Amino acid sequence: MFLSEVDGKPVEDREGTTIGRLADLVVTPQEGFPPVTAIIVDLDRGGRAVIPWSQVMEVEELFTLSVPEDKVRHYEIQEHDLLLKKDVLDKQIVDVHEYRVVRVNDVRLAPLRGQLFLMGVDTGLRGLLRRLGVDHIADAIGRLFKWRPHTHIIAWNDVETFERSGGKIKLKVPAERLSKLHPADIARIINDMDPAQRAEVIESLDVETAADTLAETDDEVQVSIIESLEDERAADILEEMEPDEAADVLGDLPAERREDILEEMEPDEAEDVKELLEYDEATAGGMMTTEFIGVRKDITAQQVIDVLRQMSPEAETVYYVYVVDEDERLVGVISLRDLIVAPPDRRVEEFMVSNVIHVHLDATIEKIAQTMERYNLLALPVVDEENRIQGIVTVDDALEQILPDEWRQRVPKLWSR
Amino acid sequence: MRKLNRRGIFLFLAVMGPGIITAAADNDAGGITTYSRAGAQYGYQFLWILLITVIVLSIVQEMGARMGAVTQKGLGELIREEYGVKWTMFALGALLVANLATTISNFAGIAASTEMFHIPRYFSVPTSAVMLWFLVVKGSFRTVERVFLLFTLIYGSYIVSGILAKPDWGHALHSAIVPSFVMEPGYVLLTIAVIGTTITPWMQFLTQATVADKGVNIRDYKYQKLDIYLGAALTGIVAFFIIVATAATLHRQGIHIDTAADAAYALKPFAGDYAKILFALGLFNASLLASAVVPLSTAYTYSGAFGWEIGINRRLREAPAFYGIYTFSIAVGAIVVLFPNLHLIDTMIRAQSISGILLPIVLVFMLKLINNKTIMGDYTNSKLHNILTWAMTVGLIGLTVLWIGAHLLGLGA
Repeated sequence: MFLSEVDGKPVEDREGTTIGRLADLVVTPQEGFPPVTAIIVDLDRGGRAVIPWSQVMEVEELFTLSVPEDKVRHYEIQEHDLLLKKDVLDKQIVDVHEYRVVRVNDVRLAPLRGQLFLMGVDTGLRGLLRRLGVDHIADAIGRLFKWRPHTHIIAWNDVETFERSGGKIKLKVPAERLSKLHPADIARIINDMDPAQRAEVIESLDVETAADTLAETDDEVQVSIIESLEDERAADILEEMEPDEAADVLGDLPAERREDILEEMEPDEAEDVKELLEYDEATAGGMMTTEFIGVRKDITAQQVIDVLRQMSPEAETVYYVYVVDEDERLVGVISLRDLIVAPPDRRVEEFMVSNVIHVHLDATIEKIAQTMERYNLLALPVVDEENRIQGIVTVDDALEQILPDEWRQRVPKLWSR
Repeated sequence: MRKLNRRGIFLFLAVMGPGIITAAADNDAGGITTYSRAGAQYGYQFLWILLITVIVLSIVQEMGARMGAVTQKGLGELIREEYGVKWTMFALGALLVANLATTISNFAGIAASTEMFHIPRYFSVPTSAVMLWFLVVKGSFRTVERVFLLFTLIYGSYIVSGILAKPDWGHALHSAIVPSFVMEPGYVLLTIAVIGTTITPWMQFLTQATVADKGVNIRDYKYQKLDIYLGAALTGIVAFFIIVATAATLHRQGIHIDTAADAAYALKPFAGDYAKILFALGLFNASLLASAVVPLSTAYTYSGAFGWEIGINRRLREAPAFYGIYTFSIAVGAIVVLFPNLHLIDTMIRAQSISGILLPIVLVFMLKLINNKTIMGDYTNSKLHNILTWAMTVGLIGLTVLWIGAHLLGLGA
């Protein structure tokens, strides 16, 4: 059964008098497939009535109430209640299963044991034709060509809805389903949305998820999201991101806004980001992160492991520990493997590799990729002219630069901007 | 203070585009021809209608941009969400007819301009259609589009020509302010055409979609507004000078525009013997640009409202509906123009009247949506905006009724 089929159906009371026509269905969101909790009726004598489902006896060719008209009770619509016609039909929803934003052509309902359950939404062509009342004609014509307009049902537990009030777009229910997805998948969905929806989704996520999600979205999308956020919230999210990624985002903002946001950030974090902003985005300096682990050569393996334990939540990669002297000059590197097999009291300088493969700040992406590939490295230290370590480029940042952006299937721009 | 100004200029440059660029594309084949016919046949008499039309154009364009900024959705999408599938079909059906008419008129422009170089339409029209199809489907349209836009500057020559033709400025200004009316069906139809070619249905959809697409924030909206008003002014200035230039040349000498070559005469004071070439190049360029942009705006609007994959950055197979609509529009436009012995100039002007007749449908939807508090919040229309736009809507409907009535009474066209 579809919403379009019951919409406008006559509603009769127990005596068999038609009191009006069905205008909308009310659903109270809950896990799984929620039942219809009330019906909204356009009364023949004018006005509207919201009647609780408990007073609906059966749904056949028409809706029959279990009471006479004067015994009809009023159902108070709750804040989170969904009106299927007003809030769902024809609107855009998030399909959290296929990570897309789609438009609803019809709503699928299922009567079961005296209740009417919300099963899902139809986004297929057939739903559209049904709304126009030409689905059977289309079927007949289609049969001649052995073609059938498709029905595409998205199960309700894969749907996230928006609502609009006072010119603002809001998520109808706090984005529970959405926030459980992997940030990379949330990012895919966000790339599909319009700017207002994006901002709303980002607002609804916790800072950590928001940061991870933002890091995965397209460059233009990142900028449009940050632009729509308050400085403080933007700063919170950027702090949570890797400094190199935060710098990439900030680098694309207008200078004024960038300064405002940097001011809101923790001084330490802001400092890191500012340094990175100095470099060209296409070089090692622009790609690197400043979060790596550096130790002195005179400490023991056990002490290094302690440092790792303490710092690993912060550092981007823990596979390599870099050894530096008093002037931050790069003198050696130890891999996680070396560290684990070394006796706890062995000093770093005794088992480090002193010939460290590195690149300079101005190294191009080609140079970085070649070096990583040749020596099979997961991260590459970046040094300045005096061999002082400035940061590291990780393999995922390098890959991101090299691979063609396959999600770059953005909304079209008729006009170049 | 300086800080604020710098930010201001930056934001203006960032949001600049929709208004000014749509304005450049607005003076397409139908526009040039309709203004030329108006000036040649009735002298300065159309200037007051143009003035009112441009004022309403700026208001309507601003409404579209504002809706785009507040809702971040296209007009077609908003109609769908607010009024459902059937009303959407109605509104978009009207848009489709208007856009097809405009596309036909632009292919007629291609035919008319190439025939001035003695290239038959049976060659130029199919060739152009195929070329435009490949440019868009193969994804290189956006690059070429900039060249087209640059060439619309050719219409600047109307300004020079209009001044060099020594028009009767007193008479012109008087006509721009004091309304006059001629009671004949041809005049009524031409009035509808002038309005319909200045405030086109497709522009309203395109401007709103572009603003929504750019994600212009309502806080930075005042800069967008400037862009929109500048764009409307640009359309108005070019249209004004086309009418003045044709009035001061063709009308003065009693030449009626029957072919594109006649219309080119208005550029003589500026370009002399090269007037024909200049006019043909300008017409050809504008026609090509609009022949791609208008079908694209149809495809774009339909895809948005019905939730189909939108093309341009996607492959043919990934967005079949989008490219299907585009292909269909171009094919219809080109094929209609190939009907033997079609009168090109009359076709162009009739097409603009169809736009004008259908425009009220678009305007009513816009007015309904923009005054809806749930959608627009604090950004609903001011009273003045509403009064002027409703007046234009009612006026257009009135003109249409008048024109049909004149036909029924057998006054003839």
